[in-house]
Amino acid sequence: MRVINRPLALVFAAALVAASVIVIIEVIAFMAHAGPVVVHWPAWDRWAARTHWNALVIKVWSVILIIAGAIVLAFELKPPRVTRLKLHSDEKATDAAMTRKGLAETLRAAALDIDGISKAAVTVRRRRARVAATSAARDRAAADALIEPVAEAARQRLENLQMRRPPRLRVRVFPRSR
Amino acid sequence: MHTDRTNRLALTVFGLAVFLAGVFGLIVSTGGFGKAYAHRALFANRVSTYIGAHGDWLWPAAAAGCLLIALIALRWIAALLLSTDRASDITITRGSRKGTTIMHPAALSGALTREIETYHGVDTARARVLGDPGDPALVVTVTATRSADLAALRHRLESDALSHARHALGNPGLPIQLDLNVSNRTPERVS
Repeated sequence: MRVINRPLALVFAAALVAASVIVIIEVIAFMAHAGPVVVHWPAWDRWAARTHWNALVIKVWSVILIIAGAIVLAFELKPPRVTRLKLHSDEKATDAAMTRKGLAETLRAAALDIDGISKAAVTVRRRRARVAATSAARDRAAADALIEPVAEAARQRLENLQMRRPPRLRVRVFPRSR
Repeated sequence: MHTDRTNRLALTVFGLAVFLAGVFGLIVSTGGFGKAYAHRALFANRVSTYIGAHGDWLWPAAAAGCLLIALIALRWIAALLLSTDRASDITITRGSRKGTTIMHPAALSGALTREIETYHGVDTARARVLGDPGDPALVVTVTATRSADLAALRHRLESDALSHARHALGNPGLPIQLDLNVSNRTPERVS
């Protein structure tokens, strides 16, 4: 989000500068009894003087503004995706954390260390981690028997990391399809 | 980048202003403020009348306000394009008689990175010195190998490398952000 915010902020700031400069130029021109210089504002003035609030154009523009404002607000107020999960640290001035991708990778490695697991995919969110492993065997019973060893290995990794708020773990093991 | 908070705040205020303008327009146009108001022209209201009557001083005041807004926006653009949150040279003073030492941030981050990369289980390391040179902060990102003992590695990082960095700057309370990552590269097999 921050990456997109920068060009968006640049465009917004540039628009503010342009609009402000136009207002300054037009005010100076008006005070000097000259005509409009950059924008033909008397035409806008006449349009606003004859347009009523209940006109269709006002309704349409109001809806456009509501949608545009809601999009910007939703974009800006959406909580940022968690990228670091904090760890306990002995030193007060140290803010140690595990990256989300790093945690996913270490849980994946823990699952792959278990005999009988051929593939594993891990999704880490703010409060939960999901391990979806695939067994080398094709039958369901063999896959189910691997759930507890995989969960135990993943739990062990989480405990070793000394996380401040360890995510809840959910482990599933699927039998190999073919 | 330290303008991130400003960007977010300004864009939130802009989004809110646009949204509220739209809501106001829709309420008025659908008769929310009375049928009579909805049939009025856009400029047939007290505010427009006041502006029309006091335009001789109001418009110059608006232009002055716009000048202020333009200057603030230009400073914002300069911050967006030119500024960095990286610290410049850090002056280290240890007692008034012993003189001062100028530490280049790249020297500290380079030494720290090289030390960390010698640790067992480390794939890559990166360090940056951020903030004001008088009150710097360190951000260290360490990517461990998949087979690394993360608990042992973290303990060593905190007790050795980070402690050395604090000692080098003569600042035992130096704020350090340590980000641990794990490489997704499969370790090469030894045949």
